Amino acid sequence: MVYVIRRLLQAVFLALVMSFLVFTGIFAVGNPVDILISPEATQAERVLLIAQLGLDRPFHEQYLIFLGNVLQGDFGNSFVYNRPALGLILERMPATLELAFAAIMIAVVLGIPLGVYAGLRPGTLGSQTVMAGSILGFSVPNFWQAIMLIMVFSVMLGWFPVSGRGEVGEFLGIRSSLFTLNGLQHIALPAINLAIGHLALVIRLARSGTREVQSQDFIRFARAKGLTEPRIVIVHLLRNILIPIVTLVGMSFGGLIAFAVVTESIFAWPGMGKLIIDSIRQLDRPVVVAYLIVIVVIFIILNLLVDLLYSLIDPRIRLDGAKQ
Amino acid sequence: MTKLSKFFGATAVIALMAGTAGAQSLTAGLAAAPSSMDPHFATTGQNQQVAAVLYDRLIHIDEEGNFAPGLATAWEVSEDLLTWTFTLREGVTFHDGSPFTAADAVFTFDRIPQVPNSPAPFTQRLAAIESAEAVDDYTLVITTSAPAPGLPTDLSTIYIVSQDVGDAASADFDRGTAAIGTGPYRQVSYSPGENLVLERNPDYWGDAPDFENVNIRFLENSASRVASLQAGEVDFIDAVPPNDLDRLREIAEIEVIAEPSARMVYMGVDQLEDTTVMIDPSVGNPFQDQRVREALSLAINREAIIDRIQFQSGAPANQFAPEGIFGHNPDIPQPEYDPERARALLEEAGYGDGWSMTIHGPAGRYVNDTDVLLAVGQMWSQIGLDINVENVPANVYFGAATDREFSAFMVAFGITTGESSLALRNVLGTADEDRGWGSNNRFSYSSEAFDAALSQAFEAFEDEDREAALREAAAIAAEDVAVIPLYWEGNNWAVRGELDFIPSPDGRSLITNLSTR
Repeated sequence: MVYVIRRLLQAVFLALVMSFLVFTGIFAVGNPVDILISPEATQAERVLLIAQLGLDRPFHEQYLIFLGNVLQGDFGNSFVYNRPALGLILERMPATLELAFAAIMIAVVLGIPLGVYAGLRPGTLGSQTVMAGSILGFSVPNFWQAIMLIMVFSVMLGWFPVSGRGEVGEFLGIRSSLFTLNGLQHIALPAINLAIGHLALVIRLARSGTREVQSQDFIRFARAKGLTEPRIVIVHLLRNILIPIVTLVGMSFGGLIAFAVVTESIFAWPGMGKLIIDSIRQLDRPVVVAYLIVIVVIFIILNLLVDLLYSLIDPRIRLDGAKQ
Repeated sequence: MTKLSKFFGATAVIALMAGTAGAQSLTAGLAAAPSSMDPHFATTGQNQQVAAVLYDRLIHIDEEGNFAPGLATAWEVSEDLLTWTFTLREGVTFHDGSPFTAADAVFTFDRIPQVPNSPAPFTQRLAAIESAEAVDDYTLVITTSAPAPGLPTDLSTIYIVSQDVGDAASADFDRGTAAIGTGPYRQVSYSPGENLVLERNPDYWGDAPDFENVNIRFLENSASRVASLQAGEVDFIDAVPPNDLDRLREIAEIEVIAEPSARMVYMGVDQLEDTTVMIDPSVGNPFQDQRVREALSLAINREAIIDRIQFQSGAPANQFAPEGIFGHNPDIPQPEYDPERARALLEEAGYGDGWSMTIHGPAGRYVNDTDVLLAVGQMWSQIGLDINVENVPANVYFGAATDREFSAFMVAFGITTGESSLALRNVLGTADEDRGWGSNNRFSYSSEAFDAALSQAFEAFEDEDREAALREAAAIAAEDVAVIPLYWEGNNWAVRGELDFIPSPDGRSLITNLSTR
């Protein structure tokens, strides 16, 4: 418990540091008014806008006002959309979460079996194909993969829609496009596109883990004892290669949520990634700051979950600070 | 499990039904999403092109660019030119069923200045109005403090909302609760950055719209926009990248519509002081000499830029207003490409040895902007200058240009009001905060003759006098080579075979300009 509280305090501190860095960064890039304002606007309208957005105040004052508002739960209105920044982000979060979830499921469900297979049967044709494929997977650029997927599966074969999010269905109170056929068709290509790089990494980790664990005493002992191969692999081997994979998946998931920008914009997926890039381009400071704070919180929660999972998978690992 | 499979079954049926809705529904893919559904938040093209199908104006603009009756059927101005009387259309209802009256127009005028944080406010379009009064339900009287010849033009961009909107915030328009207009389509739902769903307004006073249901999807990425059209997922797209035009033209079921826009891309050159930031002070500021500016203009092969870089999309420009925009001056000669004479002019001005400088442009703001800037740099090198080319991300670029960190730089100005006065005033007028002139004059062009001609345009009441004054101002700017015009960007659309699209003079991607064949 103490451990969890300490981690949460860390999160608050990190979010504070992050907000200051982003605030300073955007302040250094330039004045948002120059890019926001219409060329048709007069000088008086320009001055009015600067005053309304509070950009005429000195930097430290702007930052303190911002902090004061955040303490009251107000992250400010987006300069571009004239709506609360946090609402804008939360509204797009489900689309990004479901996409990241679908991608990570593909990576794990396909990646672990393929990696374990390649580790158990090194040198066979199948294993070599898997390994060559994994090299392609993380070296071919993401955006090119995306365009090729669209060209082949949507334009030429017509199997999947080109872009957009499908219908949203409700299941157990959660609204997601994963629950409708139309939604699944829409999510297939972007999820595969996002998954490929991570799939390749999971395969490689699973393979090297398998090769390492396979030659250890407890596996040999299990074999000598006459356990069946499936039981050896599923119970004894898998559990011992999972630690690095869980770490990778945890971090990847955070990365997928925060930076699915390329996939989201090519597939016109209405998620947060597209929002953040547009906001950075237009120096929409309230959105950028609120977004990164949200991301810091997500990363910290994921880290916490990963740590908790460690102790479940391997009871020898004790959480730092937890009572023995 | 059975619950889930039932659920899948049901949604599959719905999906099938959606697919067979048929000829009466339209799916469009637009490149630019509106920043807000509040029709009074910003005058930007992407906001207005969706507002215009949901809301009517008092005065509309027809396909030829002339005034046409909108929510007002007639208007006249008093002899002292200060009082305008508008007769409003009777029997018009808002999307919520309430009747449209003069009180709604007055409410709209009162609401516009209350919309906060607008980067492109409508306020200057109401600046001439001193008071507006609903004399009775169908008579609106507008008083101006000085004769305001531009009032009909201004009112043709003011979207009338219902007074039931009350003190709704911009976000209430996104949610749809405040989106009550009188236009040909009604807002059904809006997901920011994703899509806007519209439905035919069965009680529309004008021509009944062609489509029962419209789904406008916002597809920012040009490759997926084009692919969506090819796959038949959308029936209409805008902002087709020039590089794809030829490929799409060859596809039988797709038709391409390409026209030059009223958005001129130009090079501004700093004329403020005797020195300029990118050029060695010992050289001085060559741009103050009209002959040098003319030489720089002569050195540019505009045909080649249009042909090779823009794939024949757009047209060489010689002034801000292209043909068809009020204030276009047909007597301004077409720009020539004559590097010989350019070199001679530089020699004559005393810059025969040239100079070295860095020229700047934004990266990714205009179509193929980095390639165009590179070409301009090479063309200027050919007349003996030593040019470096630098492209800057747009969010840094415009601030730096305003802060006078560039000497020669690329900008575009798009005319959205159908006439050239704003372009001339904001870009070429001598910067003067009190007067509100020159807010975009980042290179400090200043000419008394030009300012005088343009002032006349703002004071003239008759259209002929206004046009003559605007033409004269444009001619003075062209003579002075106030900026170095490059080209009018192209507007490109593509539709699937069964549809027709007729572009309007403002170049917007209006759903109402689409019809079934």
